[in-house]
Amino acid sequence: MPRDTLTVLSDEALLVLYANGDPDAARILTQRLLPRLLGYAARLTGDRAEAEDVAQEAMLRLWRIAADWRTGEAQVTSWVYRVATNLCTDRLRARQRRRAEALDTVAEPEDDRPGAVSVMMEADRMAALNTALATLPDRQRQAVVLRHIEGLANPEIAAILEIGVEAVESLTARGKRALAAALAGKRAALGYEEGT
Amino acid sequence: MGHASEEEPMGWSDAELDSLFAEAEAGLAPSDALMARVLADAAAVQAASVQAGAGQAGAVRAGERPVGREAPPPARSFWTGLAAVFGGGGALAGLGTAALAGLYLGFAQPSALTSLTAGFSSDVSIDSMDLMPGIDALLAEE
Repeated sequence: MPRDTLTVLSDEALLVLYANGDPDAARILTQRLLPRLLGYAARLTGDRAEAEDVAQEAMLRLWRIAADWRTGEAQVTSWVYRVATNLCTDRLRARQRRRAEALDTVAEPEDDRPGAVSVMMEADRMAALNTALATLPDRQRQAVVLRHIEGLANPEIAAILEIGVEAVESLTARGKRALAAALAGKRAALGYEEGT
Repeated sequence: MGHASEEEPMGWSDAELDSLFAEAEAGLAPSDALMARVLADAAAVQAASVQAGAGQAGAVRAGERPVGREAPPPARSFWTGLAAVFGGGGALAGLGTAALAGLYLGFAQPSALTSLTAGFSSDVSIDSMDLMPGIDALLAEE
């Protein structure tokens, strides 16, 4: 099937095409899903290398389930987010077993953006956000990232975390309060002072 | 940018948090190496799957569930089939044991059993029965 035609297809349709041997479907699905999974896993684990492993493993599981995928039962994005969430949880637990203190591994800020001073400030803010996120309990962090950074709706988050919509609302509300508290005292350092 | 509503550095307001979230980009550009690894995984799984499903090829339109991918059930052996007829291997084993026990009693006719049957009906005594009398008598009459 021509690539132009493939790009307008849904994730699910692409997955079925992949299962039937289409050579281009995997590339388009990967281009769509991999950046999101990588960003999500990086927020949850705070580690780029671990995030890459998680994203690759989540995609591998998608390739393996493709032949048995039941259309209409779940969204492909929800499914891979759920797999990535569980993989991150496993890795964080393993890490906690290895090290009592996990806060020293915060994701490195991206260094490929233009502008020196503004980039430093922005990187500081992102580093502060990641550090604050790392202090949240796992479920709160997952809910806050999915809602406020990945921009997903509560029902989809509920499907990903396998909980009810009310529980999602409660988790995101508590997560935001905890995040605000964790960021307290960092206004000046992050350019949030009065008059700036 | 958001402003602190208090003199003391307190927790952040919703608006401030939202502006911070807005700066955080959802996606993260994968490296070429990661992209290559993921696509290599995809190709390997696809090749294995296509190989396994060879002979069942057919154009499946997008949105349709691929059919005919389930492996055929394994062929049943004679004994498995026989056991299924009698309700499972256990039942067949019990039946076989009972049959062998009956055959043994018929041949051996242990004295303990004979006295037991004699106790039930002492006036009837069957020492032996000719179940297949043969045709000698018939032939002799002609």
